Order: sequence, then C-alpha cells, then structure tokens
Amino acid sequence: MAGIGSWALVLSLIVSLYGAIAAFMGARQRSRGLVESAEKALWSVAILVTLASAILLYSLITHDFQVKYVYQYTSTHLSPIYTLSAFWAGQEGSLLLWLWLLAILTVIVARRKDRPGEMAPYLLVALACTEAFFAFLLVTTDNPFKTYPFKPPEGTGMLPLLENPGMVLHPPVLFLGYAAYTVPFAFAFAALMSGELNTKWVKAVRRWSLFAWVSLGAGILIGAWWAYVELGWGGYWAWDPVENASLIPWLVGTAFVHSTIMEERRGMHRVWNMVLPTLAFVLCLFATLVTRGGIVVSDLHGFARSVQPIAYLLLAFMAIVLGVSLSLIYRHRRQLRSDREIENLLSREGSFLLTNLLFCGAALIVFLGTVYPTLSQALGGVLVSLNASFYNRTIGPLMIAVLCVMGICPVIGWRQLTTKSVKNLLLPTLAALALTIVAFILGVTELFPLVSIAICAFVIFSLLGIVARDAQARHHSTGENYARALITLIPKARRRYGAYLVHLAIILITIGITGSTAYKQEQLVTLSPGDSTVLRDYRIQYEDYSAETLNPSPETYQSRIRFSTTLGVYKNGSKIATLVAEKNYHWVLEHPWVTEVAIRSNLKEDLYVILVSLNEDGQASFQIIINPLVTWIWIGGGVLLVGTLIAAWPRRRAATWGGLKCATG
Amino acid sequence: MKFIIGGAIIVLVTGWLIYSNIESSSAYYLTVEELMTTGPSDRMVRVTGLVVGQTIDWDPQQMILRFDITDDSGSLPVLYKGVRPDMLGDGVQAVVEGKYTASGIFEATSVLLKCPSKYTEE
Repeated sequence: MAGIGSWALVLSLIVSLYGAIAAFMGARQRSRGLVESAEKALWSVAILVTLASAILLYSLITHDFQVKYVYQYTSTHLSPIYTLSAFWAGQEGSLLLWLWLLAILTVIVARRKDRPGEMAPYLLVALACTEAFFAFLLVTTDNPFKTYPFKPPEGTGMLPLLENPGMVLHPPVLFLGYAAYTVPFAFAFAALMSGELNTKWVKAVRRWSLFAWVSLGAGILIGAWWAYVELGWGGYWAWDPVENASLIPWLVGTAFVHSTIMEERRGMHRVWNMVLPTLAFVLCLFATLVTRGGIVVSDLHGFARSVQPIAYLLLAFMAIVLGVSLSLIYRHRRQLRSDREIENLLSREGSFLLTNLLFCGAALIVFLGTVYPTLSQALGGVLVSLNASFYNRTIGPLMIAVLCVMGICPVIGWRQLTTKSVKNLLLPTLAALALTIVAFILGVTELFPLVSIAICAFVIFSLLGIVARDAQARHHSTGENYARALITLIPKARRRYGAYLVHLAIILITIGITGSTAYKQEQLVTLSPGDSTVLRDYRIQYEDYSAETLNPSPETYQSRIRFSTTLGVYKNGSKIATLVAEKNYHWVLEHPWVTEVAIRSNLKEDLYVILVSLNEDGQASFQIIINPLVTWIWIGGGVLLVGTLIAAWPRRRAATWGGLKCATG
Repeated sequence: MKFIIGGAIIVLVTGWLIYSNIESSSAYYLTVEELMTTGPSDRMVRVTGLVVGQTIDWDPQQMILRFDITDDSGSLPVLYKGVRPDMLGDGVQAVVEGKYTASGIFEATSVLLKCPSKYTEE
C-alpha cells in the first residue's frame, strides 16, 4: 500500500511539472489545446494526491506500523479521532496535507471559466509550479510512506500534548490558510506575466484573499486556544518563533485585504497589490522554514537542532519566487502607476495607506524579532534573544494606531476630510472620552487598560454611528421604520457590513487581550485534602485526589498514571463548580510529566487551576489564576469568521449591483 | 509629497520603536564561566545548561525550587520562586533568565526547558 502512495507522489511531481510547462507553452503559443491539457494534468495531480492522502489515512486507521510515519505518531491506544489527526502530527504528513489542500484549491481555480482572457494559463503555471515544489519535498526529503522491512507490533504513540481537540483543528485550518495564499500570489503572477494589469484581476482575487486570510486567522486563534487549554501556563500567546511565523503572513495578508479595496475602487495601490500577495505567499513558506528548518533559534521549542535539508529547498524556492515576481513588478512599473494621487492624507485613501503601512510595519517588527537571535549569533557571535516585552512595546503602539484608523476610516469620505465627517467623528470621540473617565472613576488607573477602553469605545461608537446614519437615511427615503430599514439595508451592502462585523470582532479580541493581560490575578498555594484557599471572591476547596493507571500494555506514549485532584469552587457560600486538575505520568516519554489544567470559564472571567505537584500523602500545590475576559477572544474569533463569510459569500448578479451602489454611497 | 512625508513618518516611528526597545528587551546568553568572570550584576542575563538531577530541591510549601545547571565551563546554583516545571529532570536543557547575585546564586525570574521536539525522533 505504502508503495502505491510513494508512486502516487512521484507521479504527481511529474504530472504537475508537465502541467506547468504545458500551461506556459500554451500561453506563449496561444494554444487552447495545450492549456486544456495542463488543466487535465492538474486534475490528475488532485486525484493522485488525494489517493496518496487516502492511503496514508488508511494506513493510520488500520494501524499499519510498518509505515514509519504510522509507527512514529500513533498507537493502538489512540482514539479514532486522534488516529486520524495523526495525519498532520508530523512534518511529512503536514506537508502532504498542504499539497492535498493546494491540489484541491487548484482544481477549483482552474474549473472557473470567468477568468479574464490571457491570464488563466499563467495562473495554472504558478499553481502547478508550487504543487511540483511540494511534491518534490515529499518525494525527496519528507516521504511519509517510508517503511520498515518488518512490521512492529505497536507504535510509539502520539505526544500527549497533541491529544487535544485544538490539535485536530489547528493544523488543517492553518494549512488551509497557507495553501490558499498560493492563489492570490498566482493571480498577481498571472497578471504580471500576461500584462493584463487592469483592475479585473483584483476583483477576481478578492474572495480568495479573504478566504486565505480568514483561514489563517482562524488557524492562529485555534492554536492560541490550544496553547491556553493544553500547555498549562495560563496564557495563550508567548511570542514564540513558531507563533510569530504564522502571524507574519497574516499581518501582510491583512494589509492586502484592505489594499485590494483601494485598487478596485480608486485604481490606486497597484504596486502594493502585486507585492503584498507575493510576500504573504513567501512568508507562508518562511513559516515552514521556521518550524521545520532548524535555522531560527527558539527558546521554547527544540524543533530541529541542526539545519535540515528541507531548509535549503525552501530558501531556494522562496528566492526564486521573490526574484521572479519582483523583477516582473519592476519591469511593469509604468503600467502599475496609480490612476490618482492621494490628495489629502486625512481622507479615506490616506487612512487605507496608513493601514497598509502599519500592518507591514508590524509584520516587519515580528519578522525582525523572530530572526534577531539567529542574526545576532551569525553576525555578532553572541546569542541575544528578545523577550515578550519587545513585542508588547513595539506591536502594542502600532496596533493602537490601527484601531484608531479603524474607527476613523469608515466615517470619513474619499478624497478629503469634510466638516460633516468631522462632525460625525466628534460624537464617538466625546462618548469614548466620557466612558474612559467613568472607567477611571470606577478604578481603572493604569495607562494600558485606559487607552484600550478609550479606543475600543471609540471604534464601537463610530461603527454604531455609521449604522444609525444608514438606517436614518433609508428611513427618510423610503419611510420604512428604522429596524426594517436596517434589515433591508444589510443584504444590499453585505461587503460593508461584513467588514464592520470583522472590525467589531477585532475589538472583542482586543477587549479579551486587555482584560487578561492587565487584570490577571494569581496565587500559588499548597493544600492538604479538605483545606481551602481564597482568591478574590472565590473559595477553592481541595476535596480529594486519586491515581489510576491507563493503557498499561503494550507500552506507548498513551500509557500513563493519571493523578487527579478534585476541587470545589465556592462563591458567596454556594458551590458553583467542581474542577478536576490533573498531572499525568507518561513513563515511556523522555519528559514524562504532562499537566492537564482545569478551567471554569464564563463571559466575565476564567478560573484556571494548574496542579503543580502532588505528594504521596495527598498534599498538593496549585497555581490558581483568574484570567478576566479571555472568552471574548474566542467569541471574537467566531464573529470574525461570520463577518468574513457575510462579506465574501457569492451572490446573485442583480444583487451585486445594488451592493456596489450602496457601498459607493 | 504629503504621501511621502506620511510614509516616512511611519517608517521612522517603526524604526524608533524597534531601536528604543531592542536594548531593554534583549537578554544576553552567557556561559557559566562568562557569568563568573563578570561577577554579580543587576543586569538580566540568560544562561543555558543541563540540569543536574541530584541537586533538584523543590519545596512545595514555600514554592521554592533550587537546582544546579552545568555547561562545559562550570556549574551554577539556581534559585527560582515559582512553579516547578513538568519537564525538570536530570540532563534536561534549561534556559534560566535572571540575575547573578553576590551570594553566588543565580536568582531566576524564569526557567524555560526545551521541549522535546516531536519532529526529531528517528
């Protein structure tokens, strides 16, 4: 079976290379036949890679431990869902997942026939080349179908940290984002190669760009959630290189999402719109280089200790992509001139430009911070690393500026600042100030939460103001009541309202981050069974402890002794919850102790309990943390998804015009 | 023109943010020998070394953790007030961040242990 998988990958490499060449020749010779042949090749690649993936899944389900990958990441103790998710537990499998997703996306792109004229074949060239690159990695350095000459009776098992619902979802969603960023890049490349540089391609790429952006964003948030519930240190983001690596393309992608609007509507930002998708794509490859390449120094993750062969291949491919794209952009620089100049920085054009600059600046800072230890070691000979305060103090101010722009931009008009829009900004500003003063009187005295409250309030009031003015305008022109006016309005301006919802989601996430950063409370305490401790208005009673052995034989990573402690949580004298905090001893693992935290979560705050140590007599040490407002980060993630879907959902033609007109008005 | 000035301001502000924070947020990695030569100091530094198993002393009542780390150049007693990390054990690679005090003890504000990589098992 594994042999067929290997051959499917080899064939997909050959067929995708053929596809790239056929599409390129087809474009050059204007031969419809060659292009159609390339399309068929890409369909075949999708089928071959799906076959390879199906074989890997089959090997996992049937516990075929002769396959190295299955042996390394699963065991018979693993539940069916984690046996499936082992597909992306390791490097080879995650690269195969990337290629699989890319092959499917490629077929979807190739199937649509509404592409503007000459571009389509070049689109296939870029997609087929990327497929070929990943197939090459899988065939050479990272073959998931390597086998042993014999069949081991049992696998080693999955690392317990990966046995979490977050790890079932996080990698596929993240990789969907990575794979999807190939499409905007391919569009930019195709526009440059075909010389069709009018704004049509930007219109065609918009939905793809949103799709890639929201997948990547959701992937990052699920990763943060996993870190929060599984890693057991009480936080969700540590500015670790691996986290940073996924954030950088997302920041650049955010700039691109905004920048396309400028080209569509004003014929501006045309060089930006070539550079940004190319960068986002290359930075997705960079993310893989960070996690798998062994180049970047990381405090937390050991990852690969020495530079891996895959690193050179990735670097070479990144260099080729950047080199080709940038020289094409340079050659077409005249055609890429903006239709207009910015007349006034205090206009919507100005604020879109500011958005681009701020997001690119943030991406650059995170990038520099991530490679700084590596660079300092390579250039200065001293290993210097940056701690989280570097990011907080640099990204923090930039994000505050981004949030301000978010409140201002939708209110002010194109071209220049009118007195009317100044008036429309005045009310939200005053309301936000008033709210901040109230918060100050109520006891919020530190600078960071005060600034955060002021800005979040400003953005929310500003958004409410826009919605209210929309409803009022429709009420005046049609006579409908306000509620009805709003209900009829939203489907007509879905793009705009979707965007407002996404902005609201960012505010919710900001509120969550502010609360959990500024008002975290924690306590370290050692208790005997029956004892209790008080943290703020919670009384936590340590009730009981137990130990049990799970999956004792055969010995795998899933074999463990579970030490669990039961805690009763009381508030105002009545019991509100029972928590179980655990420590698991996986005796096969090199580092056998794995903590399972207990979390009681509501909209106001999370009570987060970590079992630090447990003695034989039952005496236990706990770290108890109150994390305010954390849930709003996850709720914000949900709203972000809904908002993006509303903005990007395909619509009927008639509705499109209504929406466009409305958005213009 | 305004556009160029606006862009330049952002670039300058970003550059300034990086420049002004990079020094205060940097943590220098020193070997045990280098630390001993420089002597006690108020500067935050990081030292990497392997944990010596027999020296681990964890007091759950006081939440005080003591252990020694060694590298090629010597060994260093570390004191840390806080949670005992799960992975702490003999031979584990540790990164301790903190200050070297006059008493010859390294008072750590954080103890990081390198995760066993899930990707390097062969």
